[in-house]
Amino acid sequence: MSSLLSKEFLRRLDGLTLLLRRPVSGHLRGQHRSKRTGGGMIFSDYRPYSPGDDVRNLDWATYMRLDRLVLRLFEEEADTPIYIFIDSSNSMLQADGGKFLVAKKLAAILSYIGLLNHDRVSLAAFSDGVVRELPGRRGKNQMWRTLHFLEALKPSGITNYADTFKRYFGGGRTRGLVVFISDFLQQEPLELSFKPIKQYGHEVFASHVISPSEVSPELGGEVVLVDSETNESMNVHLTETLLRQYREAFVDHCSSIENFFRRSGWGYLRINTDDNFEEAALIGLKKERLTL
Amino acid sequence: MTALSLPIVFFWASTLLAIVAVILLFLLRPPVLQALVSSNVVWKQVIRVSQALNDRWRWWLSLLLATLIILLLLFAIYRPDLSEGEGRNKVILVIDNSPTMAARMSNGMSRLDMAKNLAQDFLSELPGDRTVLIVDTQRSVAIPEFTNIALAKTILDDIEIGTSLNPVVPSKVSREVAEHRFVFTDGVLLGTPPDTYETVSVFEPISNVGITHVDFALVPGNPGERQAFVELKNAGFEPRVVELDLNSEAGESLKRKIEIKAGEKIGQILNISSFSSGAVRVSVTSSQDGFRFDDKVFDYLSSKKEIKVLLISQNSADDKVLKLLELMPRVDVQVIDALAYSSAVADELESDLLLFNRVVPESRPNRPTVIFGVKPAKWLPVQVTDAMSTQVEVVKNSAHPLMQNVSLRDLIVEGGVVFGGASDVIVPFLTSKSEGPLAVTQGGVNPIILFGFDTETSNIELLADFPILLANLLTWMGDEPAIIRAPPGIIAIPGGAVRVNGMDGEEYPTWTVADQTYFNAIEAGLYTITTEDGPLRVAVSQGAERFSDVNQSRISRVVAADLTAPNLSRGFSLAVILCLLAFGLLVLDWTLFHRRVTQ
Repeated sequence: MSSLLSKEFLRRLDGLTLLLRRPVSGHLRGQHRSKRTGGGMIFSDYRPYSPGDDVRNLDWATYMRLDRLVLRLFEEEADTPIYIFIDSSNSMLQADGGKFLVAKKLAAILSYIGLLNHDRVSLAAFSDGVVRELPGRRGKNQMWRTLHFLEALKPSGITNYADTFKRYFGGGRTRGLVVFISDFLQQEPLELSFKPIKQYGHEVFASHVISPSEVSPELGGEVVLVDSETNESMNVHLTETLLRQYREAFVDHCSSIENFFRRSGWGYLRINTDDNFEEAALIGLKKERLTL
Repeated sequence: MTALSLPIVFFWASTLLAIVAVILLFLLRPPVLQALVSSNVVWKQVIRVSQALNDRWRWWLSLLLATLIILLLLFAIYRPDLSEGEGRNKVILVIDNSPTMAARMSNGMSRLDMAKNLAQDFLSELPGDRTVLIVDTQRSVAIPEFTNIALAKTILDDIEIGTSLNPVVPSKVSREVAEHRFVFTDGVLLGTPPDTYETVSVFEPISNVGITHVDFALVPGNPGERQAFVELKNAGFEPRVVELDLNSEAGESLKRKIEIKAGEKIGQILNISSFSSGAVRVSVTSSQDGFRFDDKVFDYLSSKKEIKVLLISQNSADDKVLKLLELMPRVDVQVIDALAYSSAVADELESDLLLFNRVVPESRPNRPTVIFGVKPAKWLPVQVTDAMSTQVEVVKNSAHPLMQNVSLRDLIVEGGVVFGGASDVIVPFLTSKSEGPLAVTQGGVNPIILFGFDTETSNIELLADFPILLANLLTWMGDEPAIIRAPPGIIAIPGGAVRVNGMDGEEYPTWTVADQTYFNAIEAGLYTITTEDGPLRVAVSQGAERFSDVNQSRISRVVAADLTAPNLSRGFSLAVILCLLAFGLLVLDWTLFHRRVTQ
C-alpha cells in the first residue's frame, strides 16, 4: 500500500479512536465530545422549555410531577482539528534517515486514525518554519493524499519551533490537537517555543524520536563533531569519562523534555529508531491514552 | 673547534633539533576524525560542565606560564647572574707553566700551548661583563689581579714555560672567591690542584729520555785520570736506543749508544781524561723524544794543572810534610830554608803556593801561602795570642773546604798560638775551651792559611787524615773553586759578584738583597761569575729525575683527545635555556591545548 504503512498494520489501526482530554470545538459532526449541546447521546443538563425547542427532548416525567415543561440537554459530538507537525530539519536525517522515517510513520498512523474518526487532519513539515503543508482534510479517502505528502518530504534546514508555531497559528486556527514529532535538538527553551500553542489552548501530544547513535555514540579520541544543521564544528578529545558524561547528559536532556510536556498536561511519547516501530507506536499511544 | 666550545655548540644544535622535532611532530600529527552528529547541543552542555574545572586549572597554568615567560624574557634581556657574593662575575684561570708543560704532544703542540688555547677559547666565550684573573704557577705574573677579558687574553699569551720544579697555585689566588675557577695543568709537577678548582687536563703521555745527573771526578787510585758520570732516565713507555754525546769546549767529543728499557734509569761512566778543562755539554739523542729540555746538560770541567809548591822549612831533612807533598801526583815540590827565601826575589820564585813550616815571612807573600806554626808578625791579618793549652780538643767547622773528610779528633797540640781580632777570616777549627781559633783562612786573590801550631809542637803529621787535610789545602788554594750546579731560576752568588756572564758572553744583571747577591739564570747553560776571589762557574741544567718524569701525572685523565671542558656555564645561559624551555612549553601549549584539547 505504502512504504510507510503496511496493509496489515493499517488493519490494526482500523479499530482505534483518538481520545482527547478536553471537549473539542469542532463545527462538524464527529466523534468527540464538544461543549455544545444538541443531539448527542450523553445527558448534559436541563433547561426550561422555550417555544421552538425540539419537543422530542421534553422530560415528560418532570412535567407530570411538577407541571413544568423542562427540556433535557445532550452533549453534541463534534470533530476536532488535528495539526500534525513533522520536524524535517537536517538533524532528522541521522541514523541513516531512520529518525525521519519514524517521524513520517507516526504522522501517518495518527493521520489515519484521525481521518477514520472524521477529524480534520492537517500536516505541516517544518524546520526553521513550515516547509510544506497539507491543509486540513476529512475522511478516510484523504489518506492517499496524506501518504503521498509524507513520502515526498525531504529534510533540510535548521530547527526553529517558535517561528514555526507563531506563523502557523498566528493566522487563527481552531483549537485542536497538535501532534508534534521531533528530535527536540534545539537550543531554544521549550517553554518559549510552545508558548503560542499554550496561548491558543491547543492540546499537544509530543513524540520524541531518538536514535542509538545519539543515546550512546560510538566515538573516541580526537574528533571534530560537526553539527548537521548548523555545520558548526567542535574539536573534542573524547575520553571514556566524557562519553559517560554525554550519555548521562542525553538522558537528562530527554527527561527534561518529557518533564516539560508532563508539567504542561500534555502527552509525550519517546520512540527509539532501534525499537520495533509498530509495536512501540501502538503501545505508546495507548499508554499515553491518545488512542483507544 | 676546541673542547671548551663543544658544549655550547652541542647545546645550540640540540635546541635546534628540538624545535625542528616539535615542528615535524606538529606537521605529522594524525588526521582528526570528523563525525557528523545531529546536533552539538548536548555536547556543548557536556563540555561546558566537564571543562569548568579544567578551565580553572588552565587559567592558573596559563597565568603561571605567562609569568614565567615574562620573567625569562627579563632574564634574557638583562642577563642576571644568579650567583651571589664576592665572586660574582669573576673567573680565575690558573695556567700551569711548570717545565713539564713544555712536553710536546702528538698534535705538535706543547702542553702549555694546548692549555693556553683552551683558556683563550674559554675567554672568547665568556660574556663581556666578566672579570678574569690569570695566574701562573711559576709566579711570572707578578701581581695577579682581575682584569677585563681582552687584557686577560694578553696576559695569557705572555705566559711562558718557567723553570721551577716546585710550581704552586699562589695561596692568595687559591683563597680568592670566584664564580669559576679552573686550573689548566698536566698534573706532573703541580700535582693535584686545590679542591675549589676544576681541573682542565692537558696531559698526554709522551716519549722522553733525559739526563737526570752529571758529575765529573778523578779516577780513584789514579788521580791523573778523570771520568764523567751521567745518569739517564727513560720516562716513556717503550724501550729506546739513545746516543749519549759529550763535547768539550775545546772540541773533544765522546759518543756512546745505549739501550734503555721503559721506565729504566741507568748510570754511565765515561773516561774524559783526554778532555781539556772548560765547559762540557752532555746531550742525549733519542727518536720521538717529546721533551727536549732534559736532553742537554752543561757542566764545567775544572783545570787539572800541576801545582808547584815551595816549602820553606827550617829543617827540611826530616820534614814529613815534604814527604807527603812528594807523594802527591799533582804536586811539584821544592824546598828552601828561611834564609834562602829571604834573600830570593819574591817575583822570581817559581811556585804556585808557598808553604811555611815553623817559618814566618817578614812580609806578606804575593801568592797563596800556608803557614804552620805562626809567630807574631806585623803583616798578619789577625792578632796572635800565646794562650795555647798543652792538650786541646778541636771543634771543627765542617762547612769549610779544608775540613772535607777530615776529623782531627786525636790532635794533640803541645804549644802554639790562637788567633783573634779579625773579621775577614774564616775559621776552619778552633779549640774546645774557647781559647780561640787554632787556624784561620783568608780568601782573595792570594789566599792565606794560618795554623797556630806546627809539626813539631803537635802530632798532626801522625794523624791519618793529615794527608787529606793537606790535599784539601792544595785544592782550595791551587785549584779552581768548585762549580755550582743549580736548576734554572734565581741563583744566589757566594760573595760579592762583580759580574755574571753567560756562555755567549752576555752579561746578566745581578741584585743584592740582605748582603746576598742573586742573578736569574733563565735557561740552562754555563755561567761565569767573576768575584773578588776569582772566577766561579755555575752550571745550570734541568737534569733531575723529577723533571724528566713527564708522564707521572696525578690527574686521572690521560689522553688529550678525551679532553672535555668543564661545565663552562655562563651567567646568562640559564636564562637562555629557560627561555627556550618556555618557548618549547608555549609551542606545546599551543599545539596540544589550543589545537587539540577539548574546547
